[in-house]
Amino acid sequence: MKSIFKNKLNLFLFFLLITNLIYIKNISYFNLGILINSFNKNWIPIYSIYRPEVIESKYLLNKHGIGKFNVSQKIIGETDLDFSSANKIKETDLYTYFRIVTYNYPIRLDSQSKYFLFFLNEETSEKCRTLDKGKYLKLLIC
Amino acid sequence: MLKQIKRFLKIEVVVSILLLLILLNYFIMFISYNEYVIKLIFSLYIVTILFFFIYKPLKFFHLKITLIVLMIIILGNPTYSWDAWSIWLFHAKRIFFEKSVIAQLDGYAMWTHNDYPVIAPTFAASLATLVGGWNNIFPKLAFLLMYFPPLILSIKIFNFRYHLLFLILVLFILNLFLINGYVDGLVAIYFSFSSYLVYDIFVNKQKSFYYLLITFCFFNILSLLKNEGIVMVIILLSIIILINISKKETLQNYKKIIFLLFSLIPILFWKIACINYDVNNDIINYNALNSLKNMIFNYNSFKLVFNLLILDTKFILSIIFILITFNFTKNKKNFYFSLLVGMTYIFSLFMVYLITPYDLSWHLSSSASRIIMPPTLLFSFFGLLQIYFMKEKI
Repeated sequence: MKSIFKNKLNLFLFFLLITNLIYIKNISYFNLGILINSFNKNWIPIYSIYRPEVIESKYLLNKHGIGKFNVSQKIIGETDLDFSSANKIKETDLYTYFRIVTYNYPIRLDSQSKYFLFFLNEETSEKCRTLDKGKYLKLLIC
Repeated sequence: MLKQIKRFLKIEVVVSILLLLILLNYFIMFISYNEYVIKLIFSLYIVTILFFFIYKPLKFFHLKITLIVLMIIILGNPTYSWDAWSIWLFHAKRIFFEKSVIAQLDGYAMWTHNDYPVIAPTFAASLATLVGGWNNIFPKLAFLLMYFPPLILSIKIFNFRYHLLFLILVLFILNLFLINGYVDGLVAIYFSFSSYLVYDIFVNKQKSFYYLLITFCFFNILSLLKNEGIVMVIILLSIIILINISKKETLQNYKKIIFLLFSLIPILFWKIACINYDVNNDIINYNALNSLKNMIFNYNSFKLVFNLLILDTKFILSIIFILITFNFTKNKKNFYFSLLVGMTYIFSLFMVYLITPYDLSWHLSSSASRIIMPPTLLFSFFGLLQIYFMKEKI
């Protein structure tokens, strides 16, 4: 500690170090609410996930105690991913699908499951029965 | 003098304990997921860190304050970066819930790069086991905790003023990668320190047992962090052999070399497990040779890789920095060693980008700035070492 105040150059470097830390804090998405809840296991990551339908998917699945689920083709988006073209990659929006899979884990996505998540405005087959509806998604049994 | 030696020895012991605990945690989890043992190992890790913080709290005050502030920033940041939530934290989540290191090898969610090594996710899963639950934020803290051994070791390398400079360089180069849940920052710092240790042991003839042990642990961790880490360790091992052959000291150092070669065993186990479960890498696979044949004579690909990889601002600055320092210090050993390590790695990066099955411009734009970070830190670190060696007449 003494070495910092021993000479001006050390003090200047220490000041530069602190400035760097403040800079990192400022360019990040630091939020006091996240810090307070950082160890809260029931904390809903509203700042991490920017699409509310992803957060709602977990709410619907947990509410009905579902262990495996399926999603509509519209949620999956592209099926044959073509990563050999940059333009194609830019057009492909897989965020919702990928994030639903990772966020809901250990509830697993299973193509054999009879529980389906659909967007609220999506048309569904007559064979399916609506179990629940949220603001963005609906849960069906097919 | 005696006090100084004692201080160094203490630092080496603390670093060795931390590194061995990271590796022990991984191996215990690999064998069986015993919650009590995992909690014990992680608690020991935290106790060792607390000892470092509490024992003479005002000593190395600048490093301690940096680490504390980074811990606060990491815990107050959302996990929004793609690789952080889709790869590293998802793998950690899988290990935590399935209670198995090889959980990701079951073929579920293949797009999360299931072949990636898992030492960092394993450490995050251990923290979750200690806390007794999961959320999206705190497991990232485990990644920051893995920075502690090299950063504590850096106290031993530099004096106070140069250590301040070193920390400023680390913060400038790694920046958000220290807190965003990526492991690229870890790869960069472990690579730079592994290179330094190799330089000190085999070029400067440092004879400390702790140094050799720390190098062994660094190699282990580096190879288990990311696939790039494996390439780095192979490069460093090859350079060690090359140095010893050129100096005709192979027989003299063969025990050290064989000992360090053993550091590749854990990653070999991981790769064998991947092959057994039929989990392939998306870039290095059977099609790689065909891709290379098509791309190697393509001038535009070279130009694109050069533009997006080599013309990175921080990388260019690090090159200028090391060239200027070399001009003043004329430390040939240090300069040529860092150049050899850095350039070999950059050559391997060129090869990887030339065999990519993805669109090259997309692949480069989404990864080049973080892939070039290890050589950037390496050149800056060795540049700073050159000035330090000259000024302090070491």
